[in-house]
Amino acid sequence: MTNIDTQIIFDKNGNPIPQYLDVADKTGGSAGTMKPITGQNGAQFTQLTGSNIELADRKLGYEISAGGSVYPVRTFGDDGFKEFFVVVAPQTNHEFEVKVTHGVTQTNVYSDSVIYEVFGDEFINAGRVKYSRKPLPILADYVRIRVRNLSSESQLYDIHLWGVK
Amino acid sequence: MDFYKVVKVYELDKTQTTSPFSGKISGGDWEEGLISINYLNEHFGHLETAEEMINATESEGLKLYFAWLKEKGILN
Repeated sequence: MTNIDTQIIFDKNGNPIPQYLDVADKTGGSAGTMKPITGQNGAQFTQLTGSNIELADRKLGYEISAGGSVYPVRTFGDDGFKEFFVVVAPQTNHEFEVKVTHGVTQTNVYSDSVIYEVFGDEFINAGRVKYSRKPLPILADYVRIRVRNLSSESQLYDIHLWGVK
Repeated sequence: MDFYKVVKVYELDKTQTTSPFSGKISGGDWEEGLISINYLNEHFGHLETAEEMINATESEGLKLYFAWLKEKGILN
């Protein structure tokens, strides 16, 4: 880089401090303005951002009876996930349904811990596989994935559940 | 036979009933789940006895389910 007409910044002892050239700020010169690097507590800002995705549960070769529905994979709120996504891959091409069940882990006067089933429409088909089109929120103590075999024969499935922290 | 008249419907989805033989991991134990009552009516509603239903399906889980219903006195 040549012909930088901006002034670098020095400390009280005359030594240059950690700094960078802000090329959008022309107040210090036509090449930009030198600015101190100021992260948290004055340190260089080094925080990485983005999602942390981990496998929450997986069942391979899971058999579901003809006409049956099961909840083969699940994740609990204390796993630390905020969202999740799912892939359900059957061994053969047939009709099946995937839904998300949210529930509570403790009940007293009500016998069933399931509170609602949603997001059935959030699953899309890719060949014979269904997967969630985007990460889905965890809305209760736990999440279970309900897979329903709509065929007249027992079927085998690989079912994967990933959590997003 | 109308299965709606003989099995207990699942509270949150009244088209389903519970079955102890809905699914299993390969080589593992059966796990409880649900089975569609409409599916039972559609495929087995024309039959009367558990034995007839067991003979009418290739699904191991369904065979066990019908035998379980017979054991509980729900089917003849």
